[in-house]
Amino acid sequence: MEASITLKKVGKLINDKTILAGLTFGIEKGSLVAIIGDNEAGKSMLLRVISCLEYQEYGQVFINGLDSKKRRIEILPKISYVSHELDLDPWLTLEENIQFAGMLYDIDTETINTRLTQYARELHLTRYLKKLVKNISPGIIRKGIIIRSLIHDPEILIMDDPTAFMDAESYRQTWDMLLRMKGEKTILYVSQSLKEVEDAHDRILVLEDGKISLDGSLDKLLGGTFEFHQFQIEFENLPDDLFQKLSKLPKVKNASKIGQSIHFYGRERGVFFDVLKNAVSATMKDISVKKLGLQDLMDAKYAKDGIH
Amino acid sequence: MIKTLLVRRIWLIKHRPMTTLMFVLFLPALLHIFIVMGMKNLVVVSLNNVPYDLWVFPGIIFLFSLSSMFTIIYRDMFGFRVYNQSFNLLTLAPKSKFHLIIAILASSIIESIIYAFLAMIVLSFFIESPVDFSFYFIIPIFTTLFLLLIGNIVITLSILTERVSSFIYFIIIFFIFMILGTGIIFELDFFPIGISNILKHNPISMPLIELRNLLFTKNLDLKFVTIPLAVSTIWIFLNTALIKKKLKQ
Repeated sequence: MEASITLKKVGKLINDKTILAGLTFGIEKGSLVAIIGDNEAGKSMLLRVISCLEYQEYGQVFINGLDSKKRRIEILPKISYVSHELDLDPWLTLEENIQFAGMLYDIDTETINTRLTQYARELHLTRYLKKLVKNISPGIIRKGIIIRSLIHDPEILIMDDPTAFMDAESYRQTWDMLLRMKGEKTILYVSQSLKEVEDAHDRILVLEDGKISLDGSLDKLLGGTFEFHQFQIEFENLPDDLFQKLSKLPKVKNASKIGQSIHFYGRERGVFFDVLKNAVSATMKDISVKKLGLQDLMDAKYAKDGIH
Repeated sequence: MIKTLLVRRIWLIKHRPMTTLMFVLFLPALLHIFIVMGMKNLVVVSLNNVPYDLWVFPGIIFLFSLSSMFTIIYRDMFGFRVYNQSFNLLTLAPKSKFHLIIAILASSIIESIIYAFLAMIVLSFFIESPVDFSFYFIIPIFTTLFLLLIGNIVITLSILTERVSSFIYFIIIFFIFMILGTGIIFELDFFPIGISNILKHNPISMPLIELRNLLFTKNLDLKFVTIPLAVSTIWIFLNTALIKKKLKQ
């Protein structure tokens, strides 16, 4: 497939601190790509660099094959950036804010209004359009920002936490719209919500200290740990000797004691029954079994050391 | 982009008509009360025998347009860059930074000139000496030249400053300088000759000096028009480079 965004050895420094370190990757046209990572991993900066909001110190960014530094003005109408901030003018109405953005891209008023009406209907925003932004709640403003980013019909949407501040209903409406656009627009987004990323993705990039530590689909990323399960048994009383005994059982991985509970990982469910057999003398209060997900993958322990 | 920025300004005025009206009506009146009504008892006529209220009239308009210019650029550039970040939207528009600087300058000058024109009408009701009809054409032209310089200064300040306290500190110093050191309230000839010469050759003072020359002595020294114009042009390029560097774009 044709590449929409290509990065070649992109490096970014702020006050001699490396924020992005030699990133090289491509994003296919029409794909939906999530970027996740710890705070200070460089996620937002990566979006700023790709959206031409800030130049990289090293390397090249290509948007539809055009160098972002050399042909910035040609590139800008093709992309759209949704910042993490609620960056609408509070003293204008939601409608005026969106119209203003369209006018900056030289879109004619009729087209602006047609698109505005269509997206506002889709995101259930019509009744807020005439209100001053300072009088609207952050979740609604966020939806307005997303419409503003679409008003010039960009090919690439770059969004920093697109559903921040949104309630469940707004979240669903927004993702319904974005998923409908998948295929016709390239969507690259950062999210703090791993649930959001698990629900809607083609590809996930895990950024760590300015470098890509993992890259692939959810299934691929979880590949190494996919068959692992997380187990938890809560006892009425869990003595140290019993915990030691259970944690040393073969196939019990990364056991830890929290209060009167033992947490551990196992590759097969069978390990759970081994533990139960050995703990039968103690009174158990509760048990739980969970398949590993993105959250577990992102847990620093597994990201760095893995389950061993 | 100029039209787009002007449309936004019209929307803003539409949402706060009373504030705008108060600004246009009351500020010129206040300036008249505190400057003209007091000073005309000290300085009855200028050194060229022009009645003080008439002599200071262009100065008050300059001062009024200066405050308007500061307010507009502070809000639309400094405020939005430092706080709200919605300045990003402007920088991501498919226009060059030179175009952006020109658009900000032009739109804020157009709005300030409209305010200045209205302030001239308001002020003309207060001053005792008759205001010549030509004033209404000549003053806006020279105010534009003056605002080109002021706009560039405020844009530079908006680019370089990160804190509101620094911005306000600079504004206070700048206003003191403008009121006392550019001939707005009293003539620069009152200063010792050395200082007077320096102040007269400051490009910011030149439009007002030349405007008064034209209005009251019917002379025009083009040098005093071309120098501020040349400085403004160079400053636009400087601001273009500064904003590119600051935004790393």
